[in-house]
Amino acid sequence: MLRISPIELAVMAVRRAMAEGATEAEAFVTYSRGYSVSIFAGKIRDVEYDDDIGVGVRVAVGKKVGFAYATGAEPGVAAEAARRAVRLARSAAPDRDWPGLPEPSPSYPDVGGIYEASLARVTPEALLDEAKSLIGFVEGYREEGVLLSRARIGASVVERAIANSNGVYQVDAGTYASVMVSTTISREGVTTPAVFVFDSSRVTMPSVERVAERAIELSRLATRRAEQPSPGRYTVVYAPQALAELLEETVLFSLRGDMAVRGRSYFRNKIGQQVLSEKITIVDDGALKGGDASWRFDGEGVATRRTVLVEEGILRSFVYDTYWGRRAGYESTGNAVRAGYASRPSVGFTNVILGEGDAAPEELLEGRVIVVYQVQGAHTASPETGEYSVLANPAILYENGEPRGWVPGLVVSGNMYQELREKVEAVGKWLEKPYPGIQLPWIRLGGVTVAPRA
Amino acid sequence: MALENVRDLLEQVVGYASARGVELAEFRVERRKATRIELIDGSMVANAAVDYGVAVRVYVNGSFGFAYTTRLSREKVIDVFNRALALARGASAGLPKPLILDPLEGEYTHPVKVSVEDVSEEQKISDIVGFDKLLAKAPHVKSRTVVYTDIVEDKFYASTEDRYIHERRELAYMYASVYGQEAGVRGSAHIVLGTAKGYALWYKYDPEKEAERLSMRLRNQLEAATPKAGVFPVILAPEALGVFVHEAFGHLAEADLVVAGSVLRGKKGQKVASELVTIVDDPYIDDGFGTFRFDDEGVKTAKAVIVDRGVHRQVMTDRLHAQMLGEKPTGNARAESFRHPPLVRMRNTYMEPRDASLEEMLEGIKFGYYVVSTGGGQTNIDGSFQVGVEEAYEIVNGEIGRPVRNLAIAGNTLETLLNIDMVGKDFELHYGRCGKGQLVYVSDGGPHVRVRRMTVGGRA
Repeated sequence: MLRISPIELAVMAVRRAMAEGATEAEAFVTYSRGYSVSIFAGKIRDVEYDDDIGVGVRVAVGKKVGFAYATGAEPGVAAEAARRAVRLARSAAPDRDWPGLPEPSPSYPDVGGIYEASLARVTPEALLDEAKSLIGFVEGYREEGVLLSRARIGASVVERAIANSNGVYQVDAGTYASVMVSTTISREGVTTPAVFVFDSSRVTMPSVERVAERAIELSRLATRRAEQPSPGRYTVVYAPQALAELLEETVLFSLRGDMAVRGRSYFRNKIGQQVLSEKITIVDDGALKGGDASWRFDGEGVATRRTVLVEEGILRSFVYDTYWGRRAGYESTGNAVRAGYASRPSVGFTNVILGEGDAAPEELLEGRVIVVYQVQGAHTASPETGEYSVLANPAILYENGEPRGWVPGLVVSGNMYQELREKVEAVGKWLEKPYPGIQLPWIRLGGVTVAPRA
Repeated sequence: MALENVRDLLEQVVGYASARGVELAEFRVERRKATRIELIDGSMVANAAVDYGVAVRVYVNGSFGFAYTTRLSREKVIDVFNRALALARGASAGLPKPLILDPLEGEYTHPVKVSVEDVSEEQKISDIVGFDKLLAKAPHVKSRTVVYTDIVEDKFYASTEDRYIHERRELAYMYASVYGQEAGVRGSAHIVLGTAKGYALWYKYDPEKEAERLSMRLRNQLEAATPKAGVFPVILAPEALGVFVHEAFGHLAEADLVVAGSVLRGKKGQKVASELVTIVDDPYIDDGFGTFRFDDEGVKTAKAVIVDRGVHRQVMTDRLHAQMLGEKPTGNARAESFRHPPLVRMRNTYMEPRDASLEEMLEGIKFGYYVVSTGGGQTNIDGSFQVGVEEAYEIVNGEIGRPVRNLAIAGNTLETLLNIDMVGKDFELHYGRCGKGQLVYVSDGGPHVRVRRMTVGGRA
C-alpha cells in the first residue's frame, strides 16, 4: 500500500515546483504493478513482479521549459523532480512557441472496458498455470518439430494521476493482459523463421492456446520451400503484422501533427486531398471501449477522443498534443502520449484502426501472389519519403489461394505512400490486432518490387 | 536513499535472504542520473532524470523469480524479495542451477576526462545549441532534431554468495538527424556520436566536421539515384560492418538464442565464415559503450572470441546458459535497468582488421555498391538478416560513383560471412543502443570488408 496516493504525490510536486519559481507546473504519476512470465526455448525463464511508481514534472519558467522525473513514492521524490525541472527550465533557452499547459477539458469520456477487478487481482499462480498450459500445448506438436522459442504472458494494473497549475486534476485506473508466442519448426536440419503472434485484452486473459495455434499455423507455412522468383514486380499481400510495422514508420509518422508543422510529413498541407486509396480509412480513438491504449485523459490531462485521420483516402486531420496543436492552429486531439512518469508527453497515437474493406480471403489471394506475413527492418524505412526495402520473412507464395511454400531471403521494396495510394487492389473484410493498439486488415498491392536471395 | 547507505541495505537484505534457504539471491541497486537536451528545429526542452530502484532475483527449485521496486526501503526490498521467492517456488521451471561463484568485493569507477556532473547545464546547452546552429547553416537542411544525453550510472550488485560489487560509469551521446527537400526530392540522414569518458564528446569529435558529414549525407540522399534490385558485390565501411556484425551475426551467438535454435547451434569448431574473419565481443575496449568490469549477474567480464579465423569458437553467456551449454562465463548478462532481469546481450562487438586497403577492394568490381552507414538492421534466428542503408554509393569499374538511396542489404548471415573475400586494415568503433525487448548501450565496428555477392533491395 502507498502512504501517499498518486494524485496527492502529483499535487505535492506541482505545489513544490510553483514554490521553486515555476510559472506553470504539471505532474504525472503512474503506479503500476503486475506479474509476467517469460518463456525461452520451451522453459519458464523468469517470473517477474513489478512495483513501479514515480513522478514526472514538467514546468515552465516564462517560456523556458524543463522536465524531470524521479522514482519512488515519497514526498522527497516529488520535491526532487520539481526542483530539478525548475532548475533545468531556468538554464534552457526560451521557446517562443510555448503555448502554456492545457486547461481542464470541458468533459472527459466515460471509457468502458478498461478495468477489471479480477484482472487487477490476478495471482502469479494463475499466470504460471497459463504458462504451463502453453508449454504443454506446444509440446503436443513436438513430433512435428515445433519449438516454443519465446513467449511472454503478463497482467498488470496501472493507476494514472495528473495535476497541473491550471486546475487539471484527474485520476484513472486500468488493467491489461497480454500473450505473445513465438514458434519455429525444426525438421531435417531446416529451421523456419521465428514467427511472433500476439493478443491482448483490458479485461480478461487472452487464450494462450489460441495464440499458440496461430503461431504454429504460420510456422507450418514455412516448412515447405517454394522456388525463388526472378527479380521483378509482383502482386504482394501484406498481412496485418507486416503492414502495421511499415505503416508505423511511414503513414503514421506522416499523420503526426508535429511532423506536419515541421514539414517532415509527406501529408503536410494536404488536408482535404486524396492522399491514399479510397479503400483506406484511418481513425485514432483514445476513448475506444476496451482499447489497449484507452484512457479518460491523455499524457497532459486532455480528454481523449476519436479522430478521423483519413476518410476513404482523403486526409481529414493530424493528431496533436497541446503544443503542436497550437503551433498548427488547432486544438489538441488528446494525443499527448507518454509511456509513464519517465517520459515527457509527445505527439503519438492511441488506438489506431485502419478500417476493413470488402475482400474475402479468396479475393485477396487470387492468382499468383506473395504473402508477406512479417518483415525484418521496417524501422529502416524512410518516413519522409515512404521508401522501404525490407526482408519479407516469412514470405509465402500462394497460387489461387493455396500456399506453395516459403520463399526465404526475399527482399520487398517500394514506396508506402505511393503504393497505398495507387496500388491497392483489395482490402480484407476483417480486422486483426497484430500489436497493442493497432487494428487493421490484410491489403493486396499490385506491382511491388521483389529481389530474390543471393 | 543516499548512495553511501546502499551497502548497508544490501548487507541487511543479503543476510535476510541467506536465512531463507534460497540457492541464489541477487540484489541490484541501480541509480541513473541523466540529463537530456532536445532541440527540435531549435526549440529546446531540457530533461533530467533520477532513475533509482532495486531488482531482486531468486533462484530456487529450478526456477528464477524476479521482482523490482522503485521504493528503496529495507521493508520494501524484503517485501519484493519475498515475492520473488514465492514466484520462483511456484514456477518449477526445471532450469539447471546457474553457475555459483566465490565471494568477492569489487569496486570500479571508470575514469573520465571531466565528469558530466562537473559541467553546468548552461555549458551543455551552449555546446549543443552551437552544434545545432552549424546544422542550420546548410540551405538544404529544412528540419533538425538534435538530442544530447548523458548518464551517470551507479550499479551495486550483491548476492548470497557474498559478492558485493559497485561499478560507476558515465556515458554521453548525441543523436542528430536532418531532413531536407530540394526540387521535390525528400530525404533524411542521421549520425550518432558517443563516449564513455564523461563530458568528452567535444574533445573527441570536431563539431564542424560532424555537422559537415551529416549535411553531406543528406545532400547525397537528395541527389541519389535509386539502386537496382539484385545480387551484387558489396563493400561495407566500418559503420555498416559494425551493424552487420552486431545485428546479423552477434545475436545468433547469444547463448539464449543458441539454445532457442539459432543457426549457430551445434556449429562450434566448424567453419562459419571466411578465414579472414575474426569476430569478438570485447568488454575491455577503450571508450566503448559496452565496456564494463562486471555484468548484471556480478560476473567478471571476459572477451568472447565468437569467430577465430573463420571458425566458430565461443558463444556469449550468462550464468544459466554457461551451465546449460557447458561454456565459459563471459559476463554478457545485461539488463536495461533494475526494471528487468538480465538477458544475454552484446557489449562491444567487432570484426578484427586484416591487411587490405579500400583501393584494393574496389579494384576488379565492375558494378557493385559501397555501403557506408545504415539505419539499423534486424535478424531472425533462422540466420536471415536485413540491414537498411542510409549512405551508399555505386561502384563502377573500380571507382566509387554516384550516391544511391532506399537500399537494403539482406541475406543469410553465414553465407555472407563465407563470401567475404577481403578484410581491411582500418578500424572504427561506433555507438548505439540495441533492443532485445530491453535497450542496452553497445558499441560495434571493424574495418572495411568486401563481400563477393549480396542481395540488394532497390528498384527492379
